[in-house]
Amino acid sequence: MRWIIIRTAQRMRSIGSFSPAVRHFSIVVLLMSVGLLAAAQPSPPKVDVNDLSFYQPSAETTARLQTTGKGVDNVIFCIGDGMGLTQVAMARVKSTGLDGKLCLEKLPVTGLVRTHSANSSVTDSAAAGTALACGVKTKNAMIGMTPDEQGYRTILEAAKDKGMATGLVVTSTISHATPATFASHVKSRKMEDKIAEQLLANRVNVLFGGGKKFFLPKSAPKSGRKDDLDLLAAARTAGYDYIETTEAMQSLCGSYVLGLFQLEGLKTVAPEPSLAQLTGKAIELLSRIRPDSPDGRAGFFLMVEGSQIDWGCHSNKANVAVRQTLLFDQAVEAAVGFALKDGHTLVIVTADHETGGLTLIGGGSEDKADAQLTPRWSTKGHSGTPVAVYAMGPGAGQFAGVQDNTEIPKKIARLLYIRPFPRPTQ
Amino acid sequence: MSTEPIVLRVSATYDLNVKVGDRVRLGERLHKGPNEDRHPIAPVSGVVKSIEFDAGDHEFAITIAPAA
Repeated sequence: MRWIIIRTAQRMRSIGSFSPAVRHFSIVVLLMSVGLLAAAQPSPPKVDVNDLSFYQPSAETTARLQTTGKGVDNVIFCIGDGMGLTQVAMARVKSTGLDGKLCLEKLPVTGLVRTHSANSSVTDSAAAGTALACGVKTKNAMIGMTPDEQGYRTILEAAKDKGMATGLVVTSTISHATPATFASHVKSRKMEDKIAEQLLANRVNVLFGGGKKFFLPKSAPKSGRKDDLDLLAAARTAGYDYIETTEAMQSLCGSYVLGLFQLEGLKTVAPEPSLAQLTGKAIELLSRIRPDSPDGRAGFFLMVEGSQIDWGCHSNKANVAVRQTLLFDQAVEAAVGFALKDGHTLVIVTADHETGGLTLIGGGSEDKADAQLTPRWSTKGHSGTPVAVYAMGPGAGQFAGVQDNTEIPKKIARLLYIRPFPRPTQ
Repeated sequence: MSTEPIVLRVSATYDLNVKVGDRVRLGERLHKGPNEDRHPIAPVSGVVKSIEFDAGDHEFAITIAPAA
């Protein structure tokens, strides 16, 4: 497009030597050509990973007050995939400076979480997600079941059984490992076509993310399925509103919504909705659902994942990891904003594991503003280091201290009076 | 023997034993996964030409150019 504009300017200068009528006609033809060319060649949205201007840090650096003495109606569980302590620190330094704080760092309760899986000191998102969703350890790659393939009810399923509305919001495919562990049970994370079926069968109220290809029959171009199931048609038949754009998302008001904004993972750039917008819309929809309970409010359980922090770290790209962490932090801010107004909402922010074995070294400059910290990666895979957990709202104090990742859903279950938990599916 | 580059896909969870430019030998373990898992091994001797992360499948695609 830039090239077209430069060439147009050159041509317009050369037209100057003709008569006024010819000049006018030539300019109109040229401008129409440019318009047609621009329309015919839509350039894909570009991501400038070094542009962090979208993130507006708050001047407030003190911790937010903890809500006490109230029951938990709603739970918003935010998971930064691959977001270790250093990823958080790096995003903070880059966006707010050494003395600033990300939104998630302002939550009043902090703790540490062990992340090992049943078969490795280094977990993957499937085993870690299963621990965070079901409260049991499993082998890497397994979803919602123990190593002997016994399915375990997830905290989302248990919340649904209790009458709560439920939602999953991610920037990966909606059938990727982490969201899968909250509403499906399969032997391998690679079975995304089966996972997509189970997400719908589980009647999760709000499903926002990418991965449309796993909902298309194999006869459709770019389908990721091995069968002829048309899950988009099945979703509509089951009462879901299906949407693909930000505009359509904004006008949603139903109790069952499926928003798939890409064939694969999200691009995380406009015109797509941001993770924060998706989170805000999910909260709006879920908090409106009124089940047939005596008091008309049964609350909701929402899991939000910043899926692509992990992807930046696997490529050892610090700028991508920073940008994705800040996009995730904006989603946390949307959750916190609702929780502060509501007073009955527990917000938990954690990670499934750390990716990249990231450390920050250097710091030789005496000028704090010139934070010469250099990211140093020790692996392209995951690491076995503990991750942080941050919490606010009623019951947040439960998450202080050092804990295993399997303890987190058990604590949520206790706060929601869900018993027994963990519990096998059959 | 073919000299076409070979692309091997391995789980991205674990630390890799190889980096771009490394010479690998036939049968060499390519990552540090748990012992009970089937370890991906180099199917030929050669040089690691590239390592790409595939986010969708959460795997590394390791391209090995076979030794002449």
